[in-house]
Amino acid sequence: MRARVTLQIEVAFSEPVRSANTLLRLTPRPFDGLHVLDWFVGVEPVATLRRIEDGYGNMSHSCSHAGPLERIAITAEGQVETQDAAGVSRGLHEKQPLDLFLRHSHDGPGEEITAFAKSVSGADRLSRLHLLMGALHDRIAFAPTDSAPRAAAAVFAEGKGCAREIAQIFVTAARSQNIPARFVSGLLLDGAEGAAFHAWAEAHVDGIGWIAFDGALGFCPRDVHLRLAHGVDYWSAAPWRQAFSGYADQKVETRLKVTAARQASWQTQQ
Amino acid sequence: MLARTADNIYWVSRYLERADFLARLIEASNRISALPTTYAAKQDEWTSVLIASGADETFPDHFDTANEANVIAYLAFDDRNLSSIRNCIEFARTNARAVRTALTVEMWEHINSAWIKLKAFEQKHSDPTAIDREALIGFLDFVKETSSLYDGFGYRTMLRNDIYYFARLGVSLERADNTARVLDVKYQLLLPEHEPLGGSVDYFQWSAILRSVSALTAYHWVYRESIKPWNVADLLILRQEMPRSLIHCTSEVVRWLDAIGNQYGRHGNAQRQARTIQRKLESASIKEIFQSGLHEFVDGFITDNNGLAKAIAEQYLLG
Amino acid sequence: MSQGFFDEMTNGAADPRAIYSGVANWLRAAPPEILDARRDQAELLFRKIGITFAVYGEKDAAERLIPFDIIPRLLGGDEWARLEAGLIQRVKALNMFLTDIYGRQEILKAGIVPPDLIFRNECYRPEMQGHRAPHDIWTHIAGIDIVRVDDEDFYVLEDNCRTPSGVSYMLENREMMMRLLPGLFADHAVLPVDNYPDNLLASLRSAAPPHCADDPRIVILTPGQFNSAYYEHSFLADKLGVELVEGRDLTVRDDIVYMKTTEGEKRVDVIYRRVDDDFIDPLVFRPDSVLGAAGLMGAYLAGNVTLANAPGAGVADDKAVYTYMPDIIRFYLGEEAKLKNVATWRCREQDALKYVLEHLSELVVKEVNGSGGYGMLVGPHASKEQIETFRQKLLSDPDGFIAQPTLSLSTCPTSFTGGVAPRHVDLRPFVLSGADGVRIVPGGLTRVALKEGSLVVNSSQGGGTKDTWVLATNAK
Repeated sequence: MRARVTLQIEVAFSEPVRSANTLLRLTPRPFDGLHVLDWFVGVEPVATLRRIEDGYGNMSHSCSHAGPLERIAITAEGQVETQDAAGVSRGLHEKQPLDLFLRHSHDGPGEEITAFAKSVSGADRLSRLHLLMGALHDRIAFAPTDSAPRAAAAVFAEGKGCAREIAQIFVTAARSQNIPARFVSGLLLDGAEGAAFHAWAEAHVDGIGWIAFDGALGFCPRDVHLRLAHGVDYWSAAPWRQAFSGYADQKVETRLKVTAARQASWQTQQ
Repeated sequence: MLARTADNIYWVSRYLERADFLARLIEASNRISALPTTYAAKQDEWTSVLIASGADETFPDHFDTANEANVIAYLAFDDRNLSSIRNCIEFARTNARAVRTALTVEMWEHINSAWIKLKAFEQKHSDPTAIDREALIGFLDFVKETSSLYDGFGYRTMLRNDIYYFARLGVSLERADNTARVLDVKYQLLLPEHEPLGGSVDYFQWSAILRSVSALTAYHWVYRESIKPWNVADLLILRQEMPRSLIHCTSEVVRWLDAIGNQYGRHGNAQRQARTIQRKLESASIKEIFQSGLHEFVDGFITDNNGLAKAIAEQYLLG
Repeated sequence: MSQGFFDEMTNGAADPRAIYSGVANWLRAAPPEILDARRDQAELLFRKIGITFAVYGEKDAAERLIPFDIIPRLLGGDEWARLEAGLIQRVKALNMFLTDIYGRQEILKAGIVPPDLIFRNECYRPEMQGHRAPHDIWTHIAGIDIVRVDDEDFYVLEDNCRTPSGVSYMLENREMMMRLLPGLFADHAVLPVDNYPDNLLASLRSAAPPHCADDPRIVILTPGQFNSAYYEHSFLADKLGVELVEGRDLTVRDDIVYMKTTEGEKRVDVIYRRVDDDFIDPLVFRPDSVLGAAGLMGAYLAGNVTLANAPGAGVADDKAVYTYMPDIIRFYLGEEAKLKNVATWRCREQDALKYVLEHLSELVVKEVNGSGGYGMLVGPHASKEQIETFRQKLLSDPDGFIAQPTLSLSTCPTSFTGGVAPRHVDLRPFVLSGADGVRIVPGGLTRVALKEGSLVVNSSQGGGTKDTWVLATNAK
């Protein structure tokens, strides 16, 4: 799918703040399933955006603003061509070993998620992961929200969560079975509710590599998923993080516009 | 110097000055309420004490009646009252601890010992509404001594640099605020129309006001006559030689702000605002103040002084 | 005297060891009241100065004193020389190991250390991968915990590469001894420790980023006065003559760190941070942290500020990595380790786990990531229930534990109300690494387990401290 994507994040402060620091992971890196034709990230008020490849190989930007500051607007836009690669994320610059993605958070995977993951069996690792995704999709109702993700165990017990939370449960479950898994944040270019921030997981299968699983939607990411960043958990892959100094409430509004142009697919040119 | 260090030092001074003021305020009111009823105040003494100490808004959340025991317990010992004496000492010590290396050893050890004594006192008297007068007087003496010794150690041991200036600035600013608070609550007692009533009742009120800012003896030295309300107002507002008068405190504020500005080579908003307040006081006379309204004048001063504190915080502290 | 332990004063004999003869004579001559009086004096002084520490989770005892024992612990010049050489060697290897782990990872490729031990450890920071710490120094300040079991050997019990504390006690204890027992002190040729702050300052200066050629601005970053080691933070800032900052004093703009002063913002070049990795930057690590500064990691990775110790250094002091230290030293330095490691069973290994489960009542079992004496089973002192609880823990997560024999920690005479008795001690020397080499002052913090028979010396668990006298004269 060829698409023009425009993403805007607008942060408004109830009182002017003294300073703000922002970290963005809003730049997709090309791989076998993604061709980036052009991409631009900007911020307003204008500030120097420093581009750094982070420890995972994600492209990140950071910037700082001095106050008094009432609002910050972040824009990311460009043209991409996504391709259905059956979920396989091949061709990325991998900077970390598989062992990192077997790491458990401080309180461990928890008994319930471990038992759940254990109960899913399959002929091989790949089919087991597919079954795990399906079981998770059946088990946890997908309920999008903007608030910060809760702990995997709590979400699992409640049986309802947003895409980030479901992705985190998938990662936790896979790792509990000694399968390397990582968190992916990105955009859903064409979902039931239109375009939106989204998150899913990737698990590693020997001989194939990293394969993406979307437990929230219940299928492996196809060409409607635009991959932005990955990490051990949500926070290390978060599309944007911000901290400000001052006493103020913060209101965040995001707008995402995607214009699809299916007929002009890059792949069909070959 | 770190802005936070300056902030801490300035607040140690302010909290200790406030503790001292509260102790004197309680003492003075104690004397009034100990008078036989024929001499007793027309206005409710303990309510006005609550107002002067700024605790009148939160007091009803914790107590039903504003009687002596409750008010003293709340003002002196209650940790729910952010400006109680015990909290002032606790906060002063917390601030001092955060910047202990900016203080001299004498200052730190003194304030730390005071805090240890406070803890011991609290352990001994677990019910603050049941503290007898003797223990209370001992406690109030301890509080006044704590503030005075801290000041004295500072005066004797500190280097004369910005750290010292911020410490002195805190004292002067807080003192100005405290004197203004007393004036604000008791202003009607100082109005000339009370004069014909004269009588002993007001005399004791006036002397109590002077006591609360430790100016009773000073009054006699300055005026060499019996206590007259307009003289009390004059003394507390316009007399340069009176260390707790608004004009003296403001001159001190100007002095320390100038010292800071000179050391850093830059004067700003805080200096300008302080000078404006100083000019207003210098050009005022007690006659004009009474004509245009004592209450309005004091209110105006409190507003200006708060504005100045804000400007200082923005320019130098964590504001 | 305790049976089977090396007593540093007597070594089990009727006469004291030669270096302890002065102390032994003094103990014989001093009436118990004198010892009691000196102890009370010491406590009063400590409290007045405010040398206190906070215990997590204890509200009322928010400010406690670490008990100070007035009987010094002595080491001979020859003993110290051996120890010092071993410490220098060990810390060099630790820094090389960290450079390698976040760099080319040769030691993993060579199969010396299993990679999962590194990467599954939460102290490994992926954000640091590919980054070279300035001057290849990761652990500028290391605390190496040492025990001895006889009059020959020193064993390393634990490495602390993150934010080891206790050095202020080392220095204050010495001041206290010179004040309380000037005669005894003068009778011994004690090597000085009071140049530690100068050494620390020199090490930190040498570690400054290249842009500040002449005069780097150094600060100490503290979590604030409610932190258990706050006294130490303010003590060091004072001795070094640098600002003690909290996170809210710092701002990061365009990858440069500033501190807010009364004269406006000033650039900061070196941060000796006493805040854990997790809390130093809410943009990169824990988002809810207010103890660090947003953007600090960006400034660090851009090379504009030095963080001491470097983020991610904790991966080297993991208790499981510890077991590989002799191999690590051999790999990087081509030498045998001068300080011994305590024999350790890695429960991740099948045979070891089997042995440990069969001998739980004899062993000390430690959580790989635990610290401060928490999460630890001391077999010989544990109840049946405690042992069973640990058995279950071990079975469910063998990778998370190591086990060691109950060490016969040496004992030192320790003073109590009305008497003197031997108590177990360890030693934490502080090793400073700068661009210009390694610095150690002779001595360290001697920690003493005050409870009879106890082997846990941590201050959070009822341990006390002693002054450590390294003498100019030799023990043998």
